[in-house]
Amino acid sequence: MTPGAGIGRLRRRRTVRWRGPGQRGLDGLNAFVAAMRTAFGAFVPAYLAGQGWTQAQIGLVLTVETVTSMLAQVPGGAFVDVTAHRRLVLGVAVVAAAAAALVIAALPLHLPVLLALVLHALAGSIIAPGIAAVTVAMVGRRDLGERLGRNVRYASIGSGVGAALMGLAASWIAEGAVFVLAALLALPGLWALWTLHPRRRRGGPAAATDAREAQGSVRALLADRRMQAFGACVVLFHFSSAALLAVAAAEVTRRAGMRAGLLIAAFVIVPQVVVALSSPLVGRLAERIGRRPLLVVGFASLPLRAALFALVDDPYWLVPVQLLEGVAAAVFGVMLPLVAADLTRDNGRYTLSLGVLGLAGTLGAALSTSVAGVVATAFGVDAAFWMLAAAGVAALVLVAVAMPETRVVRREA
Amino acid sequence: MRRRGLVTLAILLAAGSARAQEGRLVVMMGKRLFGAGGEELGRVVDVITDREGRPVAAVVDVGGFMGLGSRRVALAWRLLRWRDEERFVRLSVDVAPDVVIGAPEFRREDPSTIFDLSRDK
Repeated sequence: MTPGAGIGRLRRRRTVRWRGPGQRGLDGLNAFVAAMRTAFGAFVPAYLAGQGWTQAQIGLVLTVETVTSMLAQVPGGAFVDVTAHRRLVLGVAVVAAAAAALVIAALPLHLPVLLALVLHALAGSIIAPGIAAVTVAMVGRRDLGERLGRNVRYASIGSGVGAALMGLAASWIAEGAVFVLAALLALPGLWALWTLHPRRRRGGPAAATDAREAQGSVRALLADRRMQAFGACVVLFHFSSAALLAVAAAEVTRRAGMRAGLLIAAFVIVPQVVVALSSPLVGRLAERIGRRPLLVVGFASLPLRAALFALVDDPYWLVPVQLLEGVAAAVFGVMLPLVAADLTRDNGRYTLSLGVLGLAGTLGAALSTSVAGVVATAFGVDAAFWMLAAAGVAALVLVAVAMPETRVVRREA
Repeated sequence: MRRRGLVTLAILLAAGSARAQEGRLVVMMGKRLFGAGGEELGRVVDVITDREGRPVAAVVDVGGFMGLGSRRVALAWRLLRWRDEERFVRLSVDVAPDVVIGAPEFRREDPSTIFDLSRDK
């Protein structure tokens, strides 16, 4: 079979209806849930500090949240695989996250906030694989790349707009208003989830499609060489990229003073815009030319960006360098759920694999921040950038050497 | 469900107004610090005293955007200014904002990381 014929076939059978209510529902679900979850990021420490919490107290509850989310990711993914009521489970998780936000707003005391953050971590372990599972159930595996690209686009738009609205709410109303707004954002999210109901994939109940096939064991999944290679790639990706912005932002603040706020805002917004614009294209390309070339491009941007952060002296010129983070984030955001779907095509352990890969990413990111912090303190900021660049080279080599092409061009049935 | 929403809102408003109106005492933890020109610099996260309990410095998280890039600096107590503005007390520092934000990172084992102007003059 020539590659050309494969491309032609893919073009001919493009039958997904992109404007159907189900598609719009999926867009909305991604956007509103991402917007809601933005509140649990940077706003929690700022709000608790404003409520007179000590740094040690804030650090403790955030650590408990992180550990809970690490422990919950794999069981969460496994649970979404086997349940027959994915839409209901996803809805409950969204409601739980909204309830957690309300508790934080109403009772900024130690125990309630701790429990709310644990609840949010548990909900998060269901929400991410749940959305992926609902997506697969809606479009099937054939056009998954393009649809996942669109998921990433709307999640990026949702978290960007959500962060802006919450920033305004925090400064105009009160910092607690951020969390009331987050809870309110769950309502359109739930409504969007509801609209998915009548648009199940033709030929059977969508939710059960994969549950029926869930037969591969956890051990078999972890023993798959391709899964091991991809897991290692995920760890190295986050190890190379997670700490970069934090290290750079502290350095920019030290040097640029009051202007640093705007610069750092640009550092955050530029990649988000790139992701929103390019991720559907990434998904489409992945279906046409395969996963490997895109993974190589995305991973190649890691060492390049870290090296540029070490070499470029003027912080204003770092803003265009952040285009590279957008490229990496778009590629990674689409490829992680897509390659996971490729690798679990036959064993129905899709969301379990997402849980495992999510845990790999969290570990890589946690290692990145602590190691880069130590290196920056001991040897300076540039040394930390070069260390991250070296990790990026390792990630790139690993992807190029160990990762096979996972796309399967199926014969027309 | 609706009633619970209203209760939540009421608690929020009560909490908000309780915080907006400071009494005779000023809670330092979490207090916003402003520059001389009125620009917000950050929040107080700790107060350092000497061995007799006299305040020496305020530790402040300054700068950054949405939690990214903020730095922890300690400002000598004598640089801080309290101004009574009826509903609340405004805490400010009489040093150029860029100097405050660019001050050395505070490390508790090293008292010389406390920022003070006298050394520079």
